[in-house]
Amino acid sequence: MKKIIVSLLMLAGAQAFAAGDAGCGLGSMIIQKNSKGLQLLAMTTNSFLFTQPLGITSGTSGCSSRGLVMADKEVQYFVEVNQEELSREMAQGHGEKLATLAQMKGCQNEASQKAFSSFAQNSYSRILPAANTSAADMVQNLNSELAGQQELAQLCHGS
Amino acid sequence: MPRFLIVLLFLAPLSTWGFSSERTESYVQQALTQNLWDDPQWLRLGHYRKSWGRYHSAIEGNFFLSPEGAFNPRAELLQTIRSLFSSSENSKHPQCRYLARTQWLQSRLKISDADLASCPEQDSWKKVLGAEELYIVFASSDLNSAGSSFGHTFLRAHNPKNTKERELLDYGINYAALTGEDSGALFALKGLFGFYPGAYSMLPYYQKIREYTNLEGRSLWEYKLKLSASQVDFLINHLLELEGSYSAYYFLTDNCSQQILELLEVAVPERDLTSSFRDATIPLDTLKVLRDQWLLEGERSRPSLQAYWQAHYKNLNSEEKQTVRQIVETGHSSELQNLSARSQASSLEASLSYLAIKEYRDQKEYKDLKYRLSVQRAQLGNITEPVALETPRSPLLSPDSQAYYFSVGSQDERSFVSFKYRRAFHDLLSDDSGLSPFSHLEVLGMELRYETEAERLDLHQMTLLKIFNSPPVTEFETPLTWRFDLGTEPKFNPYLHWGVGFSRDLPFKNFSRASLLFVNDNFDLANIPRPHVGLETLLMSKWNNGLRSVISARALQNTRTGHVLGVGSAGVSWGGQSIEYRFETELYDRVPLVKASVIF
Repeated sequence: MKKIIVSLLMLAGAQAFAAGDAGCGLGSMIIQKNSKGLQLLAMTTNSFLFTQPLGITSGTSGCSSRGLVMADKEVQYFVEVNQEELSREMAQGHGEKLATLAQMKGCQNEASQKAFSSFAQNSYSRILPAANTSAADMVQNLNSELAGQQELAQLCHGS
Repeated sequence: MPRFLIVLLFLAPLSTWGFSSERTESYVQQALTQNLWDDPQWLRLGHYRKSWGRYHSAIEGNFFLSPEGAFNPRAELLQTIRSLFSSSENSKHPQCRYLARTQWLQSRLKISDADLASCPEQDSWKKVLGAEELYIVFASSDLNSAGSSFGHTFLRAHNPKNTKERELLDYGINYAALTGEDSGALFALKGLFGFYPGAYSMLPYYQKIREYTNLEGRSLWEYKLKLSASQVDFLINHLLELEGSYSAYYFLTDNCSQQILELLEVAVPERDLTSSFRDATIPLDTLKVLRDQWLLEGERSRPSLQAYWQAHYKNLNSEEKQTVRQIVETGHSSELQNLSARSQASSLEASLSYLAIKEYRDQKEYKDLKYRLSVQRAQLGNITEPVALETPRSPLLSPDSQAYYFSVGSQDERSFVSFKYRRAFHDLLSDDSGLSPFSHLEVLGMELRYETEAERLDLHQMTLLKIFNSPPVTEFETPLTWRFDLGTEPKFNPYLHWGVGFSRDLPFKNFSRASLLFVNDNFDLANIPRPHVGLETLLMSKWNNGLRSVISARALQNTRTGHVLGVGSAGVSWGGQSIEYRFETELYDRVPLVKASVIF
């Protein structure tokens, strides 16, 4: 019994991170979390189903290694989890998640983050060319759009 | 692969067994002379609780080294010393499995360097995590979901490298029940009686934020814990020891908040955080214990997407509101063209936040519509400012979940004094800081009345469970208002009342809400087939932060006799956090009641 539960704990993590090729393989899993209507007795996040157990032994898959997001997959995983929010914040040109993404892309001060947000807004339909653009494509498009932004690069990485 | 690792973990202690040297025995002797097994830190590391003079730990899985470990801290300590400090050349060294135990023993025993292992794997993992500060995060309650009606707490491990908005890249440490797909009554029953295993898990903080603020619409409150970097490090070491362990999850007692407190007690063994919680651990109460122990610092709220949407919509002018309604109801945005660019932008942004909420609520995607609106919004350029939100009242300002009511009054011209005890959580007239506004959630209440003229003391009323939830109907949503009330009155005569209806917020005073419900009252459970049915209206108002009122009227018909009875009541309440004053009147089928109460 013990071993079954412990294995379950481990598998819960492994399953949630079943690797996708380019992305982290989260897919729509995190959206389908709850039932609708009057949720009097429904389960919510006080209980867990698809979260991952703690570090060390949880293995490596997708974008995480032993329960921690791998450094080179940091942006990918962040975008995958927050794609909806990022898309909304990019459209309006401001928001916390967008500022976080800007920081991850090296734009540390407020001025450069604002410039990053405006850039993302201007490039909206190039970064997200379709309604169903995947998170992996979104990251790729973002990177190639960023590559042409000399001024922004100056602001974010310069001096 | 994971299974293989588990087997390894199970075997690890065994493989070192039998290698004990003279040095190991000298460590055991040192520990015995110091009575180390009775040290508060050791008891905390094993999550031992004392009841009826005996120790017991709720942790199961692969946590204890001694077969008696779960109820014998002494045996566990001796076995730990023998396992950790026998000179074995094992690549999976038990010291690396028990970082916190090792660290603590090292500080209490004179341990030869030759017996200390290095744990590069663990060190590099901890370096990536980089936790130097801890925050406790409180997710406010959500009455529509039993599992979260009392709120939730979890920890955020802060890496100082994550400055400003990068703090979203911190990690959330959560303790939760592994429930599988169960739901409904089975879920509730299994949860109450400890059928689910509970375990710690970790996720990037932005993922936790998304769960609560975006998907469930619950606001988060963050408090920095006053712990030193080394205390945080010790706690993380201990957390790693708990990997692969679990304990029975009881919704009321051994729940998320209880476990989080026990975890914190490991870092501050001189503090007692848990002993005040015996029959139930309410997350909000654990936050208050931490505050009272001066362990909290600062406060910050992360409003839910719902809160943003509501503020956003409220700020719009009537044309903009109309446009938003058109967009989200029909998917067409023809009305946009009549608006200025700025108004267009605001309407589009509000529509987009609403659609995000709607997607989750309806479990349906509106990708194409959202995409079209987003492209439209992006084309308008950077012309809006973030919506400013009013900071909601701190949940720490809410009154105690446990309350004592002292009242004087008269009913049917007979005067009485009464005393009521409420175990949890709050009633309709209570201050609702950090709670769902205009709601009632009462578990176990008992009112004793002494009639002064008749000199008679009696149990007047007892509440087992009473819930009233009144999410308001808006232009966009029509959620149900409902009530459920199970108890006994008078004395042990059982009753069951329930009702459903709708509520609406009113622009009256600071904040008001009116409800209309169909009610079904069963004054005597034996007569359920012939209940009283009727209508109830309520007007609830918050006049300011300290003053609240509730007026209600009910008309009920006895389905057996046809007799119609009317009930009217009014109550005002003043105060909140530590003391509250109330004045209530009621006319119950022509029987008048007045009552004045002081509530602690």
